[in-house]
Amino acid sequence: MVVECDGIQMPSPKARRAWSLLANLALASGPQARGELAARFWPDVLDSSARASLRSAIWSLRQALGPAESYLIVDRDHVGLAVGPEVWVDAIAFESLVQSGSEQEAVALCRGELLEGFEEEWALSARDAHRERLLDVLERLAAGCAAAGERNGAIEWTRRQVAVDPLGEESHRRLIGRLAASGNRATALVVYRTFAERLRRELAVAPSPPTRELAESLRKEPEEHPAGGATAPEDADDVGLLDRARPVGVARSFTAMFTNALPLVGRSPELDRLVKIWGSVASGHGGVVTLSGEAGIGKTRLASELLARAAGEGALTASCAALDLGGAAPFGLWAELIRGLLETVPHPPADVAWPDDLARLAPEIQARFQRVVSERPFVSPDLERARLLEAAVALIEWAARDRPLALLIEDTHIADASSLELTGYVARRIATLPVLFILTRRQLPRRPEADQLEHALRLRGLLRVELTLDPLELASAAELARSAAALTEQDVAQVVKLAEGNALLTVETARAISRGEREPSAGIRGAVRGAFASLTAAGQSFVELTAVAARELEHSEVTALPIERPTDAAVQALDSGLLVTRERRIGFRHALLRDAVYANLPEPRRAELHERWARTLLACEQAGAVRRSAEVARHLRFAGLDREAVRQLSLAAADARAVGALAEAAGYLREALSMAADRADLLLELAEIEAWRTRRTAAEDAFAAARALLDGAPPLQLARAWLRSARAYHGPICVPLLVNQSCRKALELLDEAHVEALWERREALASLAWTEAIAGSVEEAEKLLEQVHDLAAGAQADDLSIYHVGHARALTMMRREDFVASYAPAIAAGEAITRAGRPDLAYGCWANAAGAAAAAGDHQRALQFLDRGVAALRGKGLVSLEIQLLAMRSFVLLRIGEPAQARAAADAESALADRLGDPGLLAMAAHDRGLVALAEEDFELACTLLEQALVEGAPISRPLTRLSWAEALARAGRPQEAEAELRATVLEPVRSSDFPAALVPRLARVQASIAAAAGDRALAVQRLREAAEGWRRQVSTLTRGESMAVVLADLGRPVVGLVEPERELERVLGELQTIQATTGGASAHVVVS
Amino acid sequence: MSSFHDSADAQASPEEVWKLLYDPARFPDWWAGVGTVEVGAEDGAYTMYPDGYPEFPMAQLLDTVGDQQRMTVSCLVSDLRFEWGLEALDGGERTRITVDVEIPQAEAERLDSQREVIRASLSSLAQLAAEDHQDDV
Repeated sequence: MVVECDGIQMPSPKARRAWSLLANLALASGPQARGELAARFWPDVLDSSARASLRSAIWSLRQALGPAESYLIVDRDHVGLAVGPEVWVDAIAFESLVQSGSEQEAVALCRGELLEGFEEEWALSARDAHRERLLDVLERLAAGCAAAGERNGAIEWTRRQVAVDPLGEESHRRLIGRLAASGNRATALVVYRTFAERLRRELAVAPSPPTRELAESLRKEPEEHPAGGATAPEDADDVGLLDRARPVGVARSFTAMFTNALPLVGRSPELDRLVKIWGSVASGHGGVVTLSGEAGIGKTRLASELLARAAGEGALTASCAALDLGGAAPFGLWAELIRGLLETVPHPPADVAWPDDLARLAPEIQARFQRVVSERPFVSPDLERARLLEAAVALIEWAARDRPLALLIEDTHIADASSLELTGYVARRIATLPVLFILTRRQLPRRPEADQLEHALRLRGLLRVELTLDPLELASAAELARSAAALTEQDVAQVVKLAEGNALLTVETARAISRGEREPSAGIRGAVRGAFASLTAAGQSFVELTAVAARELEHSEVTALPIERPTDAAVQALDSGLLVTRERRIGFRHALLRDAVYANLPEPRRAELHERWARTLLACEQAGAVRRSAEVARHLRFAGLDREAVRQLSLAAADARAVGALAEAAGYLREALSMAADRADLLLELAEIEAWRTRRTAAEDAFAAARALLDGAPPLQLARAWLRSARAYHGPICVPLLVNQSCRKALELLDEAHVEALWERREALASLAWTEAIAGSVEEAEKLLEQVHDLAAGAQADDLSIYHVGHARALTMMRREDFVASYAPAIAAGEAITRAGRPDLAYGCWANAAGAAAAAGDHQRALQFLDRGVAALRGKGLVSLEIQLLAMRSFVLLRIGEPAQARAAADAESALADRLGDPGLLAMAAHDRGLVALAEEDFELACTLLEQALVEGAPISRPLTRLSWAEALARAGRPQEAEAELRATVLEPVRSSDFPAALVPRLARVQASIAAAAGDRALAVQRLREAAEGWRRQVSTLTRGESMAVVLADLGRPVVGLVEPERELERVLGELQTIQATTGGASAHVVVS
Repeated sequence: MSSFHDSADAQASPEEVWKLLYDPARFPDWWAGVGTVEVGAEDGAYTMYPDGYPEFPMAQLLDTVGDQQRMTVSCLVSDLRFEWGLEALDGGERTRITVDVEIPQAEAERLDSQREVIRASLSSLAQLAAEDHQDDV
């Protein structure tokens, strides 16, 4: 809300409620009774308190209004704003204009949602009512145009409806219908597809049957053109751009792009090396090459030459470049790369899932492969990210199945982190595929993520060559200058001197001199000025907008540019040599040229262009193009339109979350909050994302801030906020205590306000039961489960509820050591949550069931549960969870004395960890393999693997692993090293989940091994007796159910396993007996009774 | 909040001291005033019963401090907090045992008595560890 007095914007008061009161009064247009206002704003307190709060708010409002306070009319019974021409409220003016028939002027007043950021009930109602009214007016305007035969006008007004109501079925049906009627059936179908994708992403629902039927009818209709047989204007422009561009030397395809390019000069040795590597790659030995060097040195030119050769041999090629703007959308590079590949990749079989997973990133994929829009619900960010990574691998494997693939990824020094991660993920799987990645980067600025990617590839032997391009030699630079323009030898010498071996500068300087600039400046900026000056106003606008866009423009974006005849302007810009086409996109020939054009723009002009480009992107989105909220937000901010940027950042965060790019999502939200600190909804979203990032403090802070803003909100709204925090602490991060507090608070609020809210109550009670079952009172958990049962009586339980209840019930039974009985609820929970599409949560059910079976001594059953867990995860891309199940499998098999099978499981675990390239998981696999080796008495191997696990920082119990390592050293005949490890063990931090008390007898047992290895059998006997005594003390105190609870609370990691004092005691006594037998019962220092 | 620091050197290796320090069941052997201990398994919790007060349970929590090699014992009943640390001396032949004690203001009158208790406990711990160590030699 913006308030102005005599044209000067007034700052909003610190007391938020005062501003809200002003908004309410402004909409009311007349005095309102104090009693009603007090009840509306403070519904949950006594009337006297509410009236006191109202007085306080009025006082704050007076202070904030300053000289304008005279327009605030306050008396004993009423409060209101003055009525008359001196007070103008846009929402009221809108209504007056509509009433007087000036609908277009009325619509012009509407910029954004009514009272955006105000979340009170009355504000929400007013917003909804205004939106409905606006839609009604827009439709009247559209219908008027349609009746007058003005098809384009009708479409334009309908597009406005869609913009106002992006989730509205009716407006979308109208737009689809009107587009189809105007002959734009393809655009109509794109609108449908985008709408369906938006519904799926934001609401997890499909379009309604009438909308689906409308789309279906369009698909079945034969192609028709509107009267006159002319193609729709947009289509005509589409064709025209390329057709008109071609005569002036601009090629349609990437392969042909360099038909008129300058010859590659001075890079023969580098090209020869690359061609040789390509030959090896094409025969099935995939790899990566990197090209680095300063800007303009010729990296892109060299890479493009290689791609052109590869394409000439029949390879598939695609390329992408990082957005040179900052704040690029996560996976932005890959979205571009995928779009490039879609042009040529054949349709995959209908039964594969990866195209649907990739559609999160590139929605066009479903139309391209003619797939039915999937209605897969959004699940957890981790799961979405895992699926996306695997889907990208599947696409590359599919694309490379019958011909080689060469992929160029440009500017990794400014690429988004998610794209770099995905590049590494895919690259790790191409060793046996005919796939080549070419990565280009500048040496500065430093980019740690790009360094890490290269380092990881180098370690795996995938980095086939790392080329650094030096400046061109003098002769080569001269040759390039001659080929770029007709120059005298004197001019050539001047160019070579000025360009200092930089290829781009050589060409630009040569061209500047050939244009008659006798004294060209030594930089790109000067060279660019000349080329720019030769353009018409439209051509200059085109170049400027492309510079502001900071990336290559899609075809549809070119035609949507807000300039006269954009296609002609594009042709001019191409003619100037500043721009080129590439794979149906238009962009600067080099990023430095873009930088130069941008640097030449005066600041106010830049802001204006950024806004125009942002509006172009939004218009494209409304017409069915991909949503680019992160990019739009960036441009709006450059344009100084922070308020509008907030909404775009919020959407960008939702998009980032949908592909599991949590760091980026959090970044967008924090940026949005820096401009809209009072948005509780953004804070709640941020809190959830921080929880998914396992940043507990950040999550807690954001939740607390959101709740503070919601203070005074309706109890149900606040209760829901508490439930969101409960969900966050029962999943991404596991903090039963905070779940407990959050659920109790939610229930308290619902009780105090006597709100029924069955669904919320059920969720709160079931989650509460889980917290009590895992870390509280078993009796309380059982009582809560009864309450859930009573609440659900007669109602059909959904799968999520079945999961919550079953999971909590199973844990309760485990705590009571009723392990066998816990199977049934665990199975019910696992099956229900699998049906609900949450394999990540199903994992926990099957893992817990396996733990219970192991605790019951039913190890075969435990293995069966683990198999069911693997089946639930298979093909879902959740490799890290599969690894955890394999680790458990290895653990159980080792426990039942099947070391060979345990080794197979640990090896499989290691292979999967290797596929992921996750050092932590690799180290964990090393740990599990080390334990197997210890059991198989391969002590040297055990030493190596356990050391690796510790050094690489595996998520394991470190003191316990150190003890195992010390044992392996002792038994390998290295007692001194074993002693050193033992010393390190006692200096290792110990957590409660390491079961410190259980470590004490274990340490004594290892001391016995060391003594035995050193030949001191008497001491060995004494240590074993000490260990036996320690375990004997624990036999009476440690209960299995409690032990299980600690292990389960950590979801089985670190794998301490069940602490089984009886079994440990038995083992120690056995060893004691053996050693005494061999020593003939040598004297002991300690008597074990 | 009142606090104090104390330390003692034991003629024993860190391993021997560690085994006594991390095993609550052995607290009665060296911690002055501790009569008996009931060990639970969950999250390092256990219950101490003061000497002479078998019906007066004092719930305790055993934990470690961040990445440091220090062990803390916090009394869940009275908010007393004991932080124990070990340092190897003479290549591990001897061990320095340190303890930092925090006492809430409300119980500040216990400061002097706790000083005595901890001094005596340190001495017992060092002596017991040394005896165990002697047994090994």
